[in-house]
Amino acid sequence: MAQMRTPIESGVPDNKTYLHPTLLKNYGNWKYHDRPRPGVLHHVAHNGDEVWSVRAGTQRQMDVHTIRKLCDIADTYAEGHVRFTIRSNIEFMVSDPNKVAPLISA
Amino acid sequence: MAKKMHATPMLDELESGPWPSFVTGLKRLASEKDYMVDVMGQLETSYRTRKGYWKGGTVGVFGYGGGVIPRFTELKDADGKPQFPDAAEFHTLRIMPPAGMHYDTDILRKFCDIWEKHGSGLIAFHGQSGDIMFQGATTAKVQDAFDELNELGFDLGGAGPAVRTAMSCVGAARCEQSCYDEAKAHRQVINTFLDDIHRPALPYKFKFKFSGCSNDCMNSIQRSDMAVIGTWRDNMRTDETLARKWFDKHGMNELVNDVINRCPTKTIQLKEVKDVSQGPKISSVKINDTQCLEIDNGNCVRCMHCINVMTGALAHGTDTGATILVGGKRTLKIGDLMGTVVVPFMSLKTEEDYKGLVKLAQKIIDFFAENALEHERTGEMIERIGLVNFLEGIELEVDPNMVSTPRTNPYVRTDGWDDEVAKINARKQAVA
Repeated sequence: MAQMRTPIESGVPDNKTYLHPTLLKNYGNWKYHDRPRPGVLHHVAHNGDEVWSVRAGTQRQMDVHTIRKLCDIADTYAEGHVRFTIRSNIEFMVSDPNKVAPLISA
Repeated sequence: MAKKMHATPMLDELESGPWPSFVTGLKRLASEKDYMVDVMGQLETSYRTRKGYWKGGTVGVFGYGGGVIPRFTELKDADGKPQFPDAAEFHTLRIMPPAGMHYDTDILRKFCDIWEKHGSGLIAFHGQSGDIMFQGATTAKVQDAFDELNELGFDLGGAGPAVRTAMSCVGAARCEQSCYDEAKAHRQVINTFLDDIHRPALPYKFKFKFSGCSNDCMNSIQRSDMAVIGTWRDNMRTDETLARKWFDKHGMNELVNDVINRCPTKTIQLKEVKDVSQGPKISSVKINDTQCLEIDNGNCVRCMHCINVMTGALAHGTDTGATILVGGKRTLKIGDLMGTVVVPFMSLKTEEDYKGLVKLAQKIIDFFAENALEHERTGEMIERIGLVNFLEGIELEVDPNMVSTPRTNPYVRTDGWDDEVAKINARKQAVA
């Protein structure tokens, strides 16, 4: 029998690698948020940086095509970063308010 | 490919309605893989007869004892042959996500490619345990899929009587209400117990969850054996500019009805600016030129409501840390339990503080491993042996803050009262 590969017990990956640059820069430095419209959160940092999160419902159990489509949307409108909420919504983070409306219609 | 689809009238019904349906995804995959055609056939059968037809078994990856959920079909004909032969095996890999569930599209695409190649193409973001669930692989393919995911820096999660995959909220990354570095606490604690995750050897499951504030977005108090919930012990901070802005937009009715009236301990008062009290436990903020909110922090129970409504205008204090609760669980031997406070406040600022958290977790797990019965959660163990014995076991002093609902709890024992008062005063002096 061939030599089996020993697993790398790396545990929980660091989320810093996957954070949106604005979130990474302002990690632990947020001041307040408001909700400009249903499904959109607007967070402001102490240094004035702003980020808009657009939330969309998913079916939780997704086929690879759906995930790739969500990735395409994220690449086009949301600077390539997403997160999932505990209830399996997907959140697209954008640092430019002008990108919010086109993202929602996408 | 192009195996003929089974008739699935009940699944089709799930595609109606405004939200995306997993059935649409299954159909799309079924048009490419015979595997999924039969999975849909089995699922439709389940819906029709209202029975599940998957049974467990033993499938794993080399070097680990858990983390893969094996599923074999039970729908067999008289000769013992599966009715849906292509879906005879449908195992799930549990993979631990990055803390806070952040991703970039690059890594998600890589997941898709791997799972399209080795598995069914069906991925759940995320299962209720907090894992990415790669659903649907044959026994032969499980190892290949895991090897590729592991090379990307991802590791298997927990299954069976083991420490389970933990969850943490979005936290410091995008929330002003975060009271500690959730991702750091999450990783430091969980990565200490990897052996207990990968090689199930506990009496039963043990779950950690990390919430940055008492909004408890991770529902940790209900769902985890050890909940770490952010809190603070100094006064609430205020911001006049944001308070005035909020008041201009929302007005007096909303301030009174939604903020002041809804404070559970009647801590907030509306006052004329000239009448505002001063004191070490008072926070106040002007909402216009003549009126002020006054908050008596000594009576605040950290319900978060006013902070949630007037974000930024009111905020948690700066002396932050976490409350540790133990024993939450869903129903099993006894009914649902919420976590019990065992550490009212633990500062989480320095490396030392985080090491202290890991040490406490270690003690609790060791005690659980030694003392719990087979198939008994931490909460059930505490019910059986008594909280006092548990606290003694993990070497924590009993504290008045551990009393549940102290403001409405009518049970008081006054025997030995003076001795206990003397003890508490001595302890307070020792700390000061």
